[in-house]
Amino acid sequence: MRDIFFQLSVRNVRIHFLRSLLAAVGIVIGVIAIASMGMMGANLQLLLKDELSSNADTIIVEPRGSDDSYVSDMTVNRIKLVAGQNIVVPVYSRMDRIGYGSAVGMAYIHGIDPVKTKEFLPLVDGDYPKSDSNVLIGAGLVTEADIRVGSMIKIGDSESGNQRMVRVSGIIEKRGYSFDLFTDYSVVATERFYENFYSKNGNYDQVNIIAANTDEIPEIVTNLERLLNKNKQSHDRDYRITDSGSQLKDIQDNIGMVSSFVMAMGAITLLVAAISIFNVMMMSVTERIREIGILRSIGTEKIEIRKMFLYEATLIGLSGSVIGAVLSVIFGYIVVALVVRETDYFLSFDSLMYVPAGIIIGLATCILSGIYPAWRASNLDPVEALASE
Amino acid sequence: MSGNKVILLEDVYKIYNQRFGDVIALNGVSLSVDEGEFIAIMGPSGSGKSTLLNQLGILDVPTSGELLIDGHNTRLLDDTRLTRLRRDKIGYIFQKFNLIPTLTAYENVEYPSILQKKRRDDSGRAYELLESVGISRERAGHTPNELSGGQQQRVAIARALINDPTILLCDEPTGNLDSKTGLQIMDMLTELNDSGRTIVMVTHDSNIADYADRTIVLADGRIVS
Repeated sequence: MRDIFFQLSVRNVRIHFLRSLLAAVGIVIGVIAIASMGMMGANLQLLLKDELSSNADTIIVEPRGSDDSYVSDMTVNRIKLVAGQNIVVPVYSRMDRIGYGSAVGMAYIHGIDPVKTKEFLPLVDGDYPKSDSNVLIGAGLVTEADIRVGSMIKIGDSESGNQRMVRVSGIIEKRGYSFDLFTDYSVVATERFYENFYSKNGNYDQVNIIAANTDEIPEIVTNLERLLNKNKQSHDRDYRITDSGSQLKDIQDNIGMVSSFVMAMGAITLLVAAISIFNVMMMSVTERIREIGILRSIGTEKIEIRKMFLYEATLIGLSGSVIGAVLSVIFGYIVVALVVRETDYFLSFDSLMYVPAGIIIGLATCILSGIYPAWRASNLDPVEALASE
Repeated sequence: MSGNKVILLEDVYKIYNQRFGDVIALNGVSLSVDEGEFIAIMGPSGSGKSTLLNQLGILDVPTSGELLIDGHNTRLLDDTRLTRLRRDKIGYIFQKFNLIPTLTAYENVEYPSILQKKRRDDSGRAYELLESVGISRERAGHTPNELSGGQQQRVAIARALINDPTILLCDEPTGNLDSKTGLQIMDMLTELNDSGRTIVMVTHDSNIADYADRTIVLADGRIVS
């Protein structure tokens, strides 16, 4: 059935085209704001989740305080007791100069027992070190400095005389922002090489515990706190004990909060749009009081009058929401490309679901703001309405 | 005349509560109209003519008393039922024509039938009615503001007839027309009455009232003659 009330609404929107258009533009902006901000947050969360979840099973123990504080051999042994069957990886770390051919730069040098390295650093190419003159490098250095498996690189400063040539035996897979160890632009040497080269002996910069079962993590963290920090107040604890899982969750919560906040700004835009639609609908009712009187006098029921005005609000809302949704895909893509700088997740469900969500919210806003004017129109006294000019 | 009473009023009061006191618009009006009668209601302004017409058109219900339209007591019906009674039994013709400005002449005529049947008219009745009041198919595609006053009132008459109402209510039907056009409209109403349609017409023009079988004069909310 071609609904006559729908046709009347369409004609009325057409007659007051500019007014209706402006109200729809408000909805367009609101839907774009909500949907593209939602998409941005979702993409950021998806990106971080993928980048971080690879090492969500790791507990990190670091000394607090000045640069020369460290985790002693004895402490490592105590940590091992608490960790039980789980793998404990003591790590040496420092910045140093590296050179390849004529290129020179700074990079992190890590010293890790090669047996342990296998447990948490997967390779994309080559092999784990077979001798102390073999090192692994992060995938980032391959693209940045064109270092390959078999390349010879220099570690240390030639002027101070402490420089050694080592052979790259393997490339570590790209790991992104990892909590336990940044390896993408690092050199991972053997523990023994590091101890010889930097004259260290058992004073580690960091200890990682790789939990076989993530459910055990909270218990291990509690035990470590008791053992190492003796339940001191947070400001005078000796060690910082963090687990990547809860850090990941913290970061995701923060991103969630930020994107909810930004979406709330979008909601304010929609509220403004709702007020403008309300205003348009009230004007539409006021201008058509007489017409409503005529419609009522020739037998139009209240519910049919209500329908007519709700159709009008729906028309404005639907066109605004759909246009807004189409534009929000474009705007959302731009925002994600600029802010998140990674568009791989853009087409995923978690990200694109904000488009239909935007349509629904926009449409609901319009219909809600049309309810009172429609109710008012239907409850006008037909006699008074007919008498009005 | 069949003697079948299509309108029956018994001791009808209409009282408006105002801040400065009650206004009694209808003060105990009793009236009966037979099927096929042509009644004119006259009276000075403020006499209650319009209020009476609004009660007959079921746009309003009496404060007290009985008002039966084609046997239905209007004080016992809810708004939806009143609206449907109005749609099916009453045809309204107004002084200001009251066509819907966004619809074409044809759509204006068709509209009450859509309200009743809940679908577009495919019987051609709307065109037939428009032709019978002298509006061509070509004219029927125009919106009211493209038509003359006389043409608008013809369209309004066609609209009033589309649902084949028992009663035709006319509120100063010639009030906004020049005298020649007014006479044409009155001839049209007379013809409708001759073919059996009950007509109640409000007017302040006694020449126009002469077309009716019976004239009722109202003053201060009462029937005085």
